[in-house]
Amino acid sequence: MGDDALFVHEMGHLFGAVDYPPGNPLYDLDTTYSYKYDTRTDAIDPANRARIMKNKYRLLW
Amino acid sequence: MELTARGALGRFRPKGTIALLRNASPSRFKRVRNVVLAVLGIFLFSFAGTDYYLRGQLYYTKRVINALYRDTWQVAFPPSGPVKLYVRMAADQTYRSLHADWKTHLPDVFDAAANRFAGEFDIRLTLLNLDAWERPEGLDDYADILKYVLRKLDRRGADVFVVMTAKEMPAGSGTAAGGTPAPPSP
Ligand SMILES: [Zn+2]
Repeated sequence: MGDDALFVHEMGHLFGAVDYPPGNPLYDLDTTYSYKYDTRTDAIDPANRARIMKNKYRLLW
Repeated sequence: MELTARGALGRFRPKGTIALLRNASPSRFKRVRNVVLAVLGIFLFSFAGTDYYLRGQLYYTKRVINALYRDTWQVAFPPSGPVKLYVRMAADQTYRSLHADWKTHLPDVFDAAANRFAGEFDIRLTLLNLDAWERPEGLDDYADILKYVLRKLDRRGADVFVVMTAKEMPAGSGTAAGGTPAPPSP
């Protein structure tokens, strides 16, 4: 993983994906947005997947 | 004209702002409108200014406008189909020194992500080019790098500019882990 996961992670942020830092209820979830697993998996959790779909047509400017 | 309006409103005496506007003479109405516009303008200007100062870009300003656009125009006229985005990538000197194969490694990283986004979201990413860039000495903090990149690097028409940097681990643990944030630019 490593760079692959980071690239997916940062790309998702462009479309509204949010991080799960320590203390967040989803911190233990196996997703690249958990700070626990960020570089270890490129999995995107359902909530962030929905956020990305919701913002798919946002303006990039 | 004024008389008729007064007559119609004779028994109804609105209060507050409505009264101000209804009973206002044209010049007074203009004055009130100008004051409202000026206050709004100053508010937006200082919001955007603070935003730009703190984040190095119009971060929240753009987010607010995007959210408004999404929840109004796009609700009325829902967009559909794939989203096509052009991407440029650049790796700094630390990243290049830690990944001697960066010229082949990064396109692979890009392809993997592009496949994910195309398959799962129908967001199609095209890589325009891969460059080297020199990170100025002493610019180490990620937030500062992002600010610098946003202000100094030219996206040259790309929708997304991905900048790769890396941190050298303290001596002892050998060489460092992989690349670090790819702050995409828009
Ligand atoms: Zn993140």
